[in-house]
Amino acid sequence: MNEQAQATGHIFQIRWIPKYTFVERLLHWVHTASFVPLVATGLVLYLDFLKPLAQGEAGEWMRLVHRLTAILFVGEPVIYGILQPRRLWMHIKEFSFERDDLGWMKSAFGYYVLGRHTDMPPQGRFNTGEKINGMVMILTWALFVGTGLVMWFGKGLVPADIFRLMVMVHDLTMIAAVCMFIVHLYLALAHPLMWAALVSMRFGYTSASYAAEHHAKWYYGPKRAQELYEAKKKAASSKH
Amino acid sequence: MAKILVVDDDRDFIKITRMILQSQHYEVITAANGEEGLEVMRREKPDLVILDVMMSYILEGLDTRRQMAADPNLKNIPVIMSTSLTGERVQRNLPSDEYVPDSAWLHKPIDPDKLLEQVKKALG
Repeated sequence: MNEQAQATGHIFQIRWIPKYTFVERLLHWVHTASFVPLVATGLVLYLDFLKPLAQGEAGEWMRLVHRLTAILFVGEPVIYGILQPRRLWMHIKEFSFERDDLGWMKSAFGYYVLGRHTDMPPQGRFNTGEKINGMVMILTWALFVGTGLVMWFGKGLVPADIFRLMVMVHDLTMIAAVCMFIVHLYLALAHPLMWAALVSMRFGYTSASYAAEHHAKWYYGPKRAQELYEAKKKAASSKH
Repeated sequence: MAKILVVDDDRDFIKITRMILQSQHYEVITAANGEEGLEVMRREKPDLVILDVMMSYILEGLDTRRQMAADPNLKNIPVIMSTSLTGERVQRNLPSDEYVPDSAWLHKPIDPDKLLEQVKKALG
């Protein structure tokens, strides 16, 4: 066998990788479709200058829309857990934080703002930013459910102080969730490094080149991704 | 009857593949990831391996296939790679993380008739 023949072989050139199932994408978009009207109607009830809209018949409609979309918002993760319990468990495990997440936090500014790609340690199927988003969503969801139930059904049943506390926690949770939503929206729609995340949430697939670059631990596996990261860092430092 | 090892992290795929293969009286053993797959191969000496490409990470199946090819006790076991990834097999210069030693291929979702045809062919 000559040298050329030894140096070539069959490779499986990967083009597209399934990232989200149909149910997961549906869940994401239903979540968005329920979150946006919840915020809009919630703001009407929360902000003083919008208070006129919360009066009379219009106010009744606002409360009705808020409560109906709240049912959707609360119910759909529960339905997902019933339909795909193994996938839900997989996500919970994928959202757990590990040592590399600290590296992401240290490198995020250089990577996303200054374009320093060699700084970023390898990431799994979800990067640290996506994990933070996921954790905030889970936490705010739980707080919305708890406080919302008391606000909806607890008036007159729970002490007034507790009721007021629930309203305050509900409002603060809304502020946290809206801030996260704005960051999420900016990254998904406007940030040049994150466009593929929106594509995968729309079609369910992500490109192999994007996965290798942005989710190296998921693509190559932890050991190989670490080797590649160290080689890339070494090459960058010797260049300087 | 031939002993077939199915290596896949998708329990539903394993369940369905087992049903299809057992309907033709093949003995089916299973593993949930590449590492476990290699252990079972060394212990059970299967006649054929059906190996998923994307498991806990995307290239896990390809890594496992290369480890099989490098092991004198495993390199002659025929392999059918199964995958839900979209891509193509091309001739390229090596080394490459996407290199795959000679294997048959099936794309998921797998048609039962096609699976049985490939199994029969691989077992010679």
